[in-house]
Amino acid sequence: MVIDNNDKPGVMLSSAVRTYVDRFGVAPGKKIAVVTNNDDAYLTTFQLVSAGIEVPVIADARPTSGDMADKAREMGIRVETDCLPHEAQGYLGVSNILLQRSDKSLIEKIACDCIAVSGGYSPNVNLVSQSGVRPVWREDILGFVPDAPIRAERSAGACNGTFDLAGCLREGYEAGRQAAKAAGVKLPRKKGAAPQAAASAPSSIVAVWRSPGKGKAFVDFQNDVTAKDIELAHREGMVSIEHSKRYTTLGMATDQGKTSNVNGLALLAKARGDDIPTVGTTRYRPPYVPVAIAAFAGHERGRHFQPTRLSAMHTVHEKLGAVFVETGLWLRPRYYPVNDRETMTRAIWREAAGVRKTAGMCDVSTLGKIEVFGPDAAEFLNRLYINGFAKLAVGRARYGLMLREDGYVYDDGTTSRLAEDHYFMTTTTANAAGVLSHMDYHSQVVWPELDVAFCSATEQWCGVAVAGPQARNVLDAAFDGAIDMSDEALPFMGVREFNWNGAQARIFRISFSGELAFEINVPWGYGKAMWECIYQAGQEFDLIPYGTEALGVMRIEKGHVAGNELDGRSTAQDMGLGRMMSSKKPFIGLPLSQREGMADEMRPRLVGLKPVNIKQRLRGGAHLVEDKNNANLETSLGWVTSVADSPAIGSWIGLGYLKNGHNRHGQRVTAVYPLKQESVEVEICNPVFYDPEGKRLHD
Amino acid sequence: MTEFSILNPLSHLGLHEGKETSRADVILRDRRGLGIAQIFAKKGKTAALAKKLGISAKPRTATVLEDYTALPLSPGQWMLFADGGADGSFKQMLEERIGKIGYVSEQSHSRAIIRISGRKCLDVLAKECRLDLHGDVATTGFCAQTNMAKIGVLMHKVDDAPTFDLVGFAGFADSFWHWIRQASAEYNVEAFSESGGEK
Repeated sequence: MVIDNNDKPGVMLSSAVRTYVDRFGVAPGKKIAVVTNNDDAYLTTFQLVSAGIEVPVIADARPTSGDMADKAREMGIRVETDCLPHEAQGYLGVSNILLQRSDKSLIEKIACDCIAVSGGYSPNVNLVSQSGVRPVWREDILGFVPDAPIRAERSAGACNGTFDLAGCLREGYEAGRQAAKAAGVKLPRKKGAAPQAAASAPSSIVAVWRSPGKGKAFVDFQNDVTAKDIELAHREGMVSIEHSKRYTTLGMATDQGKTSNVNGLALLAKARGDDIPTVGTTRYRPPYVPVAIAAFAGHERGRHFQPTRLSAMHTVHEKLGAVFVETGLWLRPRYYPVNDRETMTRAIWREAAGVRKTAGMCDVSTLGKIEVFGPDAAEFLNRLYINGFAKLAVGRARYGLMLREDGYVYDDGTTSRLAEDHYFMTTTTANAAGVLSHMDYHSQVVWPELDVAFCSATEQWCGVAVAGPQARNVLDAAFDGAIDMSDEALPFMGVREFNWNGAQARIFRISFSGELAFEINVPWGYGKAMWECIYQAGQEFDLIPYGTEALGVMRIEKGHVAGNELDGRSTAQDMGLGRMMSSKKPFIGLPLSQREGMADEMRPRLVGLKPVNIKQRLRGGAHLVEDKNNANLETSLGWVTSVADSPAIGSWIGLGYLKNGHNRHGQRVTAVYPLKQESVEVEICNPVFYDPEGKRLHD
Repeated sequence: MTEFSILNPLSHLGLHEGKETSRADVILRDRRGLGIAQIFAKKGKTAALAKKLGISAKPRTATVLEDYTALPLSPGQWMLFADGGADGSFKQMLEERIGKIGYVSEQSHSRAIIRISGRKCLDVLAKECRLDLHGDVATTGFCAQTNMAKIGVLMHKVDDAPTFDLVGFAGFADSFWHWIRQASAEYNVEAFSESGGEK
């Protein structure tokens, strides 16, 4: 029921007034006028009176009074039939209601501070409409009800146009029975019955969509759509309800027109001179009820926005004062400041220099680890990696590079052969899960004939890398002769298993830092103890813990590619690893890696970069150009991928991709960084800055 | 070498063994020290392997034996759990039993196992679990791999109480535990550790 000035504070739905009184014990007004076209408002009236609130009048639009009106009159309440609200009056809120009988035999202003309006119930067809059902009109209740279901849903009760309790219980019981039956639940043989309730006669109702006034009357309170807006829409030619809806935004707010749609349709129907079923309804959209964003977020906020993955040695790093960094879901130590005053830059420099001088230890548990079994394991790895693994001897490890199907580099890692039919593979931290599903796909879909099995072993084993000239001495002291780590017993790229305090342990002689280095794996539960054992034993050799930053500095000094270079746009050849591509076997990515554009000599190639003025710093992301005064995307010859302030070289160094870079060692280009107005002249060099012969690995 | 203890993924919580009170709506148990192994049948040997170990090859169906519990992961793959044997002896026993028809991957340290029970346990699980855990669908022995709180979980319905085992990667254990504590915070929750035996 749309009344003039119904935006004045104090004009409320009759059912809302009742809820305030019944449920919350709050009186919405001291003098509440009730206007209605059905019986429901009488229930509100009785509640108000029993709560001691004055009801000066009930204006009932129906021409004759029924039992409810008689009862109200018996209680001494004034009931006017065939009577409509004309407008709400008042300044800051309701102070009067102007009533009018249809034959104008009565026009009266009645003082009140609240108006309870009841225009009848509109079945909530939003959900069935969302499921695709077009609601159908029922003249007896002046509302839309669901048509036959399209999906496996059923409507029961008020949303189905059944408003009395006995009817709701009956329909609900039957719908529940049918649903249970459809879900395959075996129903008891003895048929039950719906709970009983006193039957009540259905309420009569007359159509009152718009009060007789001509002022401002809101239809959709949420989207500020008035009765005049709908008339205007019609005059503008929006005769279809779909057009009218979009023109006026009627029913498009988060309430999806729960109280406004049927009034709006009726007003449009009146303007068109049609009946309501001819005009029809629009499709209701979610939300069915407004949903708080917090409900969608649920648990996933703060530290649980993503789960956190912790190493077995996490508490040790905390104790050592590590500053952590997120690498994927893992938390890894970034660096270990010795005190509050040590800056990150100084700590990184100290750690990187310290490893090369004496020894350092680093938690490498986060690397993806995959165990591969089976008579075809060797063949499987041969197809995954660009280089060969079939002839890898038991007890040896090898660096492997894999491509995507499109020929670009996907991931790298070191894979060891533990037995003839048993390999232990490692992946980068970032790609661990991706590589495993890549393998699953190829094993299940592409090559189901291969007899191979594999699974993640990332968390079974935790790993510590010990690197530096004193690495062997540190471990000898820590392991107390449990394993012979001499060059003869454990040569570079060798792998051995041994028993460490009752635990199965594995030692790999591999190096990311370019120093003499070992990686030791023990089962998760031994990780903390192993770290502490090595750390204590290492003190007499000046062993230090180092984090991901120092790890990064040292790998840049050695020209090892990592995430910044494995950017999904680079080929093995771009990285200077083209010679690893086996010509004796097929592997994933081989055919597409031979496309013309992929094999182009002029593609950007991995190079080392040194500032000519060694005091200048380099920046990752800088572009490489011939002429700093003509630097733009057309003249860019490549870019800087990784930079480090290198203790070993004594200046900033960088890795980058440069067109034809492998043929330009010794020449100069300029690294421009327009964001900071910087340009640095750099010399192109071998990406392996430190110990290019690899002597230190074999010490 | 100084004395040290073998840690469990949730050791840092400082839980103790114990029995729940009658007030508990949700009971959580960190099951420690279990021997865990992932086993694989060689090509064409799935039925033979299942028979040799006395376990079911049916999907979503756990086999609970005196020596171990087997949860199927995919055709020809199971995760096996035993009381004790985390020192590698469970894996070794399986290797000897299986012989040449399959492979065993040692996983004893790789997982945290949280057992959840109590009258409100289904309400807690319903907050993140997308599986239908209604007793008519998920009967005792039901198992499945799913994702809860963005963490991969292998789930096993242990009994009709109901009791569930939730198996997740060790690295995520702290995060998962934090979620499950938050999800049960509205109820009376009691948490304990439970030793898997001293084998």
